[in-house]
Amino acid sequence: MEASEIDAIREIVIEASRHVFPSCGIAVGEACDPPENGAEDAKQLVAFMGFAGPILRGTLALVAPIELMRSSYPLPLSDNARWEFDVFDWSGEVANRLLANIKNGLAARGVEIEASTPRVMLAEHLHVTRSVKGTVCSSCFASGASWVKIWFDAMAPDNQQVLREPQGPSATPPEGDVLLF
Amino acid sequence: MAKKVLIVDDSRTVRQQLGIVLTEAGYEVVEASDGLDGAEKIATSNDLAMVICDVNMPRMNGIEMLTFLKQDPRHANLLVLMLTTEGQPALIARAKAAGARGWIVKPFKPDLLLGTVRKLVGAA
Repeated sequence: MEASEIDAIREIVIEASRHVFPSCGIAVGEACDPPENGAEDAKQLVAFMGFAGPILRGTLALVAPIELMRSSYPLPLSDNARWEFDVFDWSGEVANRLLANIKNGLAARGVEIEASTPRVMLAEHLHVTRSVKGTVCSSCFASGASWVKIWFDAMAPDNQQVLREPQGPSATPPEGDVLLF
Repeated sequence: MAKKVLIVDDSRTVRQQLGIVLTEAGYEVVEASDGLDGAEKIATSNDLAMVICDVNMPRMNGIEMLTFLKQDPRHANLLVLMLTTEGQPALIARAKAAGARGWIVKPFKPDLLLGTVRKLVGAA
């Protein structure tokens, strides 16, 4: 992909993050590059989603301390060990909403993708290698004293223009509004 | 007897969020974790007032479930609202053609959703 297209897709991802995280109870500051191998919280949740379309394919990964995701859980948590499963489920839903927003942003630029269902894993002392070819966005957002990281990897065929000029306002119905047929 | 609403979503959190709104309004709630589970629950229930259904789910997605159940004349009039992160016009058109009654892009607004349920099936 051209550097300008990578920049445009990165902006779509960051804009989606700024919209979705607060709506899911996760206050975020400005985006910055993730620390390389800094002090990491011991237990982290990783939510993965794959996507593919005629032109673009890749993955979205959301990484955050389990305690941040626990504090954002929108309902009373179970008292017993069940609470971790609830937070896993919620983290998958957050990733789902994030990729849906990214999908809408890409659709406005003529790029269609279909997403997988989310998978969530618990990691301890997770370290991530340097960005590889295909990483469009690798961003870390401060969230209070904590943080949340996004990796968006996307590949397209060589020498193929990916993005069209914006086609106008989004055709997606506003979130929460009821469209009756 | 309270009117019964089936919630079909692979996210337990979303099922619980919806369930709380509906039960506090007096409706009875049944849950299904994907389209296949939803289809089975519909097949074994003859007193559902409405279904609120996600689209992207494992095993059977929401539009597949809708298409499957509308093949049965017993469910021709069953009201189905799609509640999903998806919002592409082509997908909305597919759901409408398959027999959905409406579409909501997540996250839902409790008052709007409840008002719609009351409008379509009446008070609990």
